Amino acid sequence: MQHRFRQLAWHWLCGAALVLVLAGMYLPVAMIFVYSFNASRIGTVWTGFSLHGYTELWDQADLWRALRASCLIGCAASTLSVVGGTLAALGLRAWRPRTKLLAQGVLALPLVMPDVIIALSLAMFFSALSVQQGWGTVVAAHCVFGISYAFVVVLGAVEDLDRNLYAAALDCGASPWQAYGKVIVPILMPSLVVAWLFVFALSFDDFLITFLTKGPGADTLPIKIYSQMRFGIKPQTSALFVLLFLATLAGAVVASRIVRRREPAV
Amino acid sequence: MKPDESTAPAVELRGVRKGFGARTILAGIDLSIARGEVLVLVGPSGSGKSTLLKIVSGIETPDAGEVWLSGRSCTQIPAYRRPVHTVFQNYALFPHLDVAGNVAFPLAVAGISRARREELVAEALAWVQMRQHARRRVDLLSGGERQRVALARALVDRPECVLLDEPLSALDPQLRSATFDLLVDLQTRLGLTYLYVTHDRDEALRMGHRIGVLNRGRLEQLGTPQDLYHDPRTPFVASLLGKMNWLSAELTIDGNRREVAFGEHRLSVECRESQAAGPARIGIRPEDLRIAPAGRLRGRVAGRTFAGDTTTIRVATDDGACLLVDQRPASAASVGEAVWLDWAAADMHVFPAGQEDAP
Amino acid sequence: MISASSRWLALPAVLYLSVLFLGPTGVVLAYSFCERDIYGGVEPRFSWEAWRMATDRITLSILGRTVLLAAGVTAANLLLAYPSAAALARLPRRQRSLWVLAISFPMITSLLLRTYGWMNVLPLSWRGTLPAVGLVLTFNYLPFMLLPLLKAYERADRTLVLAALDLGATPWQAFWRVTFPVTLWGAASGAALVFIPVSGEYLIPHFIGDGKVNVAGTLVLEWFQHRHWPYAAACAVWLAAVVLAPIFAALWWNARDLAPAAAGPLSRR
Repeated sequence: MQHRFRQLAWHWLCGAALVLVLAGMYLPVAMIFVYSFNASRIGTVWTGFSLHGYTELWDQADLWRALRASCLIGCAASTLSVVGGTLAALGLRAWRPRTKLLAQGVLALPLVMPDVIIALSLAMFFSALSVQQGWGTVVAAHCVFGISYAFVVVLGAVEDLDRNLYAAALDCGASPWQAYGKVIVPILMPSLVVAWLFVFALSFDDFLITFLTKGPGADTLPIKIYSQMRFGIKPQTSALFVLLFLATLAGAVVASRIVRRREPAV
Repeated sequence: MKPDESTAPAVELRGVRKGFGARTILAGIDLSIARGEVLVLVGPSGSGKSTLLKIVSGIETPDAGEVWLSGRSCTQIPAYRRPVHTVFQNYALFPHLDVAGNVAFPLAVAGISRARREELVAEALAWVQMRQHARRRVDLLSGGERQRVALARALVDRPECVLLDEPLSALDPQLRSATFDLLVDLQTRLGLTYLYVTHDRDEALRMGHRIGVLNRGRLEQLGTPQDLYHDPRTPFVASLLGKMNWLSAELTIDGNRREVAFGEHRLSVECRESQAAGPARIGIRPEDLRIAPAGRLRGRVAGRTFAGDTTTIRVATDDGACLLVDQRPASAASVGEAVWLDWAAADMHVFPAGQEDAP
Repeated sequence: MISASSRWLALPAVLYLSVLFLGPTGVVLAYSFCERDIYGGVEPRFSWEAWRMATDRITLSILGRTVLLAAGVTAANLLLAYPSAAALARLPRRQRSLWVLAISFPMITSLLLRTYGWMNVLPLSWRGTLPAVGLVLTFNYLPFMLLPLLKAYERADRTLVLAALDLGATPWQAFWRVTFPVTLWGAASGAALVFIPVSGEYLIPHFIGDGKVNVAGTLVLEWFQHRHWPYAAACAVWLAAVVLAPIFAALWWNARDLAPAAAGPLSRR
């Protein structure tokens, strides 16, 4: 009896922790939703309900410019990173064990470096070489962590790849190019998509590295928000992120539907 | 088709050598496979049989020697331009393509028109009875079904030779026999040429028109299943292709008479000319031994194992050997009973002492 | 079979990171031994000044606070993630993946805006305190702990716990003697994924700490902006050492166990 009671208490505790976790994750998001309906123009205080965060969203030219910058930088960085990371994951298989381990270390090291160090070192590096900072330096900087993430994600898929598949493709008459194009890359595609989205999300939300490597003009969304933090986030900014949040949610739901339809029930 | 192409062997290997680092995998292999023939390569793991298959398919390149396919020198031709296809041991089906997509792959990369492709795929799937599953995902197929898709993929463009790498090893016994029958049936029906690699002696004996026994990268013996079974050239071949009882004896040569002695019995034997007098190993197959009222060796029945179609009797001889007897019908001798063993002199296989057995 | 020529494919990425990661790291090291240039940058003259500053009492106490904060956040995460993972592991597969998605989904919204959300949730008296910074950091990095831990739970055989309970263990004993050792690699990889970024965190200490909570991240950035680059560089080197030392120590002790753990959460998605 006592045993049973203890087990129930344990389960209850676990459930409570889960609820606490969920609450902690959604509390700040809920605040963004709330503040997107704030009547106050710039304030940090709630002055009343209003829709102008949404109705005036279209007029916020600087916000849209920042969104555009974030998207362009994100697309460029994640595309370059996924290409580089994938080629590295594929190519390293043919390296000798020792040099391979070394190369893997170089490729994965940015993952265990805090952003602030990467940001600082790149800023000093560009300054030491007198590189003019701008869009290019931001993309180049994002590629540093992007390649690392893409490499690690794709490497898992490459290691799961049946080594016979490439041989089988050649055996079936496919040239090496066709073997990569029609067999290896299509099989890796889900991981490539995951890696791309992952790097894009990281790049899109990055503040520190962008902050220290950007030049004039390359103001991304996080930079824009940072400048608003002290005086209070504008309701339009919150509204934009509410819309982005909902759009991503819808995208995820649609994507999971499509994936599920492709996988017939066993 | 040019006349020399139709008469040339489908596959011909000349002095093929291959090593990885200091290790020799293949030490000079010569063999040829005629059109429509089934050549089985049998050997223990590590004997180089899979490497040989990869060299024929072009996935590996030999260190020395030549590969000829249908009268064309293919040593320098890459895998994807060779007229042979492999059925891989783990099937190596493309997971991103469905059944029909897998079978169509060789046609697609060869640039064959869609209409013609569909026709050929349907035909190939019909051969392996997989037409109704054409749109299934390959990762949802059973082992036997995967095997058949892999086979259809290898057959769809009618290669000069189909290379089968232990095609039955991953299947359970029941499926194995069904798939075996399918392989034989397709081979005769379509006149296919097989180079078939296995480590299973039953498969080798039943499948092969000819069998090549590989041991440590050397072709130990090449011949018909009957040849190899009844006239093995080495103890390795003898024990690889069937159970063998081994006895030690002394070989004496007196002019043209070659004799071995067992106790007071002297038996005249046939053996290779090259074999010198001295200690010898005598191999006798269990089915050639008889339990008889009188015979050449005395022993005691140590055990009986009933296996349906045969009963194996283990006999411990007086000099300490343990021999297996697969006599039909089985002797009624019970465990512990003293018996005599007898055999025909012609059923003895005589080898010099000290040669290795198959594992 | 892999053709030898494919080895060139790896070259662009390896070269890129060699230049843009190892290069900058070298520059930081070099700058930390240079003289300060008050207009930004450094004077190319050797000097111990930055390191003398970086080993003073103030810097060391800030570093100590950083380690304390990161360790505290990691521990809090373990405390929250373990029971949550246990609860999730009991759910059927589909439901579980939905929960995981739901828990990690807020991570796609801007970190800055979520921090702003926290600023408006926390009582004003908490602002500028270390525990408040720790609280926000804990929830911000929770998925990084939860996901590898759940992975470890999924791989562990659930019948092990049932067997332990069947053999008379209390739920607590079953957890401590069976579940915990079996899932330790998940906890270790989660701990690495939390500890590293938290010890370099800038935004959350900056805004939640209201300028009153100094940690390594804020220190580096502020002195970079105050144009004392050698000191900022020296602090960055310190931070890297603090972060990497436990990782290399763990690798040294148990290379085999940690390698799959480090690759686990990212590669097996």
